Amino acid sequence: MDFFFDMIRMTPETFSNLMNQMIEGTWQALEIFLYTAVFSVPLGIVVAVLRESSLKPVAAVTRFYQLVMRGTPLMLQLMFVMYGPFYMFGIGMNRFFACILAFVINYAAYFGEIFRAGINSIPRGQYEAGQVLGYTRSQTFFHIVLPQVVKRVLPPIGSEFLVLVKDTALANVIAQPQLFDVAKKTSGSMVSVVPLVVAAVIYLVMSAIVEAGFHRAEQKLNYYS
Amino acid sequence: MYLLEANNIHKSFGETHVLKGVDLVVEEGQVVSIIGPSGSGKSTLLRCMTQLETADSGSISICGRTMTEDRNGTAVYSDKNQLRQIMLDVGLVFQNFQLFPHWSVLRNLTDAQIRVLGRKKEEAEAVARELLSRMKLSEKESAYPCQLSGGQQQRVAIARALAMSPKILFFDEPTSALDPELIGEVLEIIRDLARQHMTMVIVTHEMTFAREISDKVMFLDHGSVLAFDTPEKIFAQEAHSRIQAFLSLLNKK
Ligand SMILES: Nc1ncnc2c1ncn2[C@@H]1O[C@H](COP(=O)(O)OP(=O)(O)O)[C@@H](O)[C@H]1O
Ligand SMILES: [Mg+2]
Repeated sequence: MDFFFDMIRMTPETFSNLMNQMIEGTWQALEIFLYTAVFSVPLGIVVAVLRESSLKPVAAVTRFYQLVMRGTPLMLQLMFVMYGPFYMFGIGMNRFFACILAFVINYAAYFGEIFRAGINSIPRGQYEAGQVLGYTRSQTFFHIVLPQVVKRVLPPIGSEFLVLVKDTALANVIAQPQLFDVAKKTSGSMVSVVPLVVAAVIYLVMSAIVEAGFHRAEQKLNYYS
Repeated sequence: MYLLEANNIHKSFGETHVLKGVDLVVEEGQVVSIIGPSGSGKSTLLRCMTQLETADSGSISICGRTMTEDRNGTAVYSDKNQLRQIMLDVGLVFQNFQLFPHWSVLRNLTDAQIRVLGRKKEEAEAVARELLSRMKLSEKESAYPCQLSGGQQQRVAIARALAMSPKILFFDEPTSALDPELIGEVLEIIRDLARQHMTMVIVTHEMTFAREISDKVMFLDHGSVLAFDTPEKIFAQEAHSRIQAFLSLLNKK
């Protein structure tokens, strides 16, 4: 054990202090991750449906929104959501709220495309079979189409989730505290690479957990093809 | 009194005039087969009867309910409630089954009964099991569609349609997607339904079957009815030359 603390050139106290801050930062990063995941996925389904709307203006506006979200830096979007309302209307934004809002509307644009591809991959005959059996349009969508879509979009959604784990670090531009923020500050003040390495390991572990979760979900849905 | 009565149905897709004034009447308990070359509009006709397409003009009524009336050459459809009622009286079996892959065979047969007809789960399962035994598929109730052969899938699809207690059942080439050795088991089920006087309209290329099972046969060619008559007349030597040409083409295959 002494050898370990010698190697990282820290006393056990400093190290445990660092780890406490890291855990705090991890929890904050997780919060961003979870809120974004919970809200952006359902919103992504809505985006997909609006984008496929037979009302041309609705589809066009949705497409434009997706272009803006996917065609500008997320960092810039974070800044815009956080400070834009203040610069333009004098409205101060709650930092955490602004952070989640920016992440959700950004990720929903990407999820919209994934769900759109998924929805379009379900044969028309499935809708028709539902219709002829007397299901309403919404029953057909939610009970027959969507479950099949979920199975098909699981791999690309999982991939986006891995990106999101790392993207939580971007919250740094609006000074939203989270793991990367802690790593940056502590490595500077300690003049040590250790916080960066610890943060890297934590991001990797979080990613591995997300990846494992999706792997399991895929296997659970493997009962049909 | 006809169970299905369709008059002067016209349907175009853009410039393509697919149905050119088709009449179709079916009495209760009758089996009507629709034959004709590929692209002649057989599927489109069935899709108009089952509300998967809307006719441009003409009138359709099923079980005494008006689906659409012709007003000055335009099909005017009834209100949503009426159309829904008609939908519940009608069943359709697709060429490629269209079972719901994420549900077990049993759930495929019970879900619509419960969700659409409001039947109790126990009742729906009893109906489903009874039908599965008629389809000789009792041991498959917890299998998923992907684990079944094409013939088994189509029998499940027929059971799924029957579970909703339709008054009339439409089939669009129910055996065309099947390997030859699996066709027989599906035709046997349809024969069985005919014996029980199920009212059916069947688009098929199985001529021997059509001849033996049908009360009436319609020959559709380029969107027009060339003949609508008893199988004896349709398959007779002196039938319409187009029909003879079509039948001899099929025989050569
Ligand atoms: N949704 C559609 N859009 C455009 N054309 C169609 C559509 N459905 C069918 N058709 C055309 O209508 C004609 C009749 O098709 P169909 O009813 O499927 O014939 P059949 O079932 O007798 O082979 C074909 O020329 C086909 O290309
Ligand atoms: Mg066809």
